[in-house]
Amino acid sequence: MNRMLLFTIMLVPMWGFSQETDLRFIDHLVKTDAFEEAVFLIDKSVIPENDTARRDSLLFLKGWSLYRLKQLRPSAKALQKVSESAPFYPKSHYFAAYNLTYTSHYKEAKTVLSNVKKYHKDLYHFQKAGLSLLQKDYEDFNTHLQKADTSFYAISKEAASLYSYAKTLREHRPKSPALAAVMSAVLPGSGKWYAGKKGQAITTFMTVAGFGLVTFENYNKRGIKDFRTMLFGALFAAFYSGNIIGSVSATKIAEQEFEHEYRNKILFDLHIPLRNIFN
Amino acid sequence: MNIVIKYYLTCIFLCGISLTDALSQEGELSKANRLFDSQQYFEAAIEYERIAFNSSDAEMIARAKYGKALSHRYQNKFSKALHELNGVFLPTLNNPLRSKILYEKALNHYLLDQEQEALWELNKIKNSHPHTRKVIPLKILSLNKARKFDKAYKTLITFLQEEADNDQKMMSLATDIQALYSKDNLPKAYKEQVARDWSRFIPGAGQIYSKHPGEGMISLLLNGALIIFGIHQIWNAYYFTGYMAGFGVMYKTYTGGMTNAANLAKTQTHNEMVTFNQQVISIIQEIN
Repeated sequence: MNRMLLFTIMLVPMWGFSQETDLRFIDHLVKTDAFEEAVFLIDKSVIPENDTARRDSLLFLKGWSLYRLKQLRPSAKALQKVSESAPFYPKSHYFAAYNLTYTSHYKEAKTVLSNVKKYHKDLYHFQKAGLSLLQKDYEDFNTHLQKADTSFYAISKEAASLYSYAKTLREHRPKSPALAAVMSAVLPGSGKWYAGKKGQAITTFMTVAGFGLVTFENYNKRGIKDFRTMLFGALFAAFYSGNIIGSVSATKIAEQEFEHEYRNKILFDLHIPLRNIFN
Repeated sequence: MNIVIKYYLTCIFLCGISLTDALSQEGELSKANRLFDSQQYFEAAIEYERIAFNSSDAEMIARAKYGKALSHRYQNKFSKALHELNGVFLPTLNNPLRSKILYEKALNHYLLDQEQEALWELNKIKNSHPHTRKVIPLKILSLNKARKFDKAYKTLITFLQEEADNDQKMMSLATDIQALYSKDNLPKAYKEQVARDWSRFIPGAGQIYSKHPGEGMISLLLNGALIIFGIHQIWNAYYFTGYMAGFGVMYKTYTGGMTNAANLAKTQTHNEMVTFNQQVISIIQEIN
């Protein structure tokens, strides 16, 4: 009995040693950019409920690897589970919030950010301001950015950028698809010009005008019943109506591009302070 | 504490240490090899990396990195395999392992279409080593890819003389090799710019130059028909019709034809080399 007990006692530190080695190895994988391998090993290992330190380390390494693999939603899920006792708790939660923001889970991102409110206050308000700007809540954006110390080196440049984006977004007047359609009906291609697609506008005008002239020429010389007049007339009609429909789409695409561009700019500026502070 | 318990504790501790150490070396290598043999290359690569991480022995690290590179190659991750092998410090390694690593580097370079780099690595392998038997075929294929056919031919003939087990077989294969490396049978290099220029002067000629006469004829007929249509329309005072439906459309088919000819030249060069090397591989297999 005594020998059994002795043997068991000896096994415990050896098990601990093996786990420690495993954790060091996973950390090494992450440091050498072998993220897929790291996630594979973490998923294979048992995440202990009672050993908080090991649990937190595994969750953090998993979340970080998934973040680097651009699997942002599962990354946020792992990073959020890191407990407050871990030294990398603020980093985990700030990155979890960023991942959620990137994947447009704004409500969840706000909740996660509120968990780390007491750490890096300026960063907290800066991130909240960015979130509000993405949701076009300009009042909330101003409130949070005013609370942040924008002279703080890690956010100063990006805060100025956010102010400038907010100004542009606020002043932006969306293009009207109906107006683009009317413009293109009157002068082919002009709707696309209005939508900001100048190259497309010139091509459209040339094509529609070209087929218009060809149709007119055939109509004038061969009459309306000639198949060539009908063929070129049909082509002209197709290109003409396509030009109107295309102008409507062009305004929608231009709007989407504008939104996309500013969303990316905001996300980029939210990301830089995180890397500056935590790396 | 009782002296017996102390004795047990010391023994178990020392055994534990030595066992862990042994497991992390040969034991883990065999585990990784097992995974590799059962075609679980991703898992094998992790185990090899674990050995390299835990070991302080340069040779064990090199063996593990070599295993990892093989696992990557079997997953078609040639660049990753090269990255692993480039991290191995070769000067201190013994010759069999050093040659194996150099060969593996050359093979990955070859698979990445970097034939010059492959030849560079192969030239570092000492000819006296028994690994040469595997090295020469790769050298011949790399020389072919580098379009050094004379050298490849001579190397293949030497390889045949060294490896063929009877004279009759040697004579027969030598004739095959001579026929394969005859001037008419060598894979040609079709230049993209030449194909483009041919199509610039005569639509479809670039495709014919790139050994695609069918596509060349279609291109020629299409462009010709559009030109005739355009001229005919203008001749009959249908200026807009001639310009738009004739020359307008022809402009697109003409420029598209030039791009198509250049792409065909590139593809044809690659395909001919693949077919040629396939024939060389068949001969090498017969020699072996």
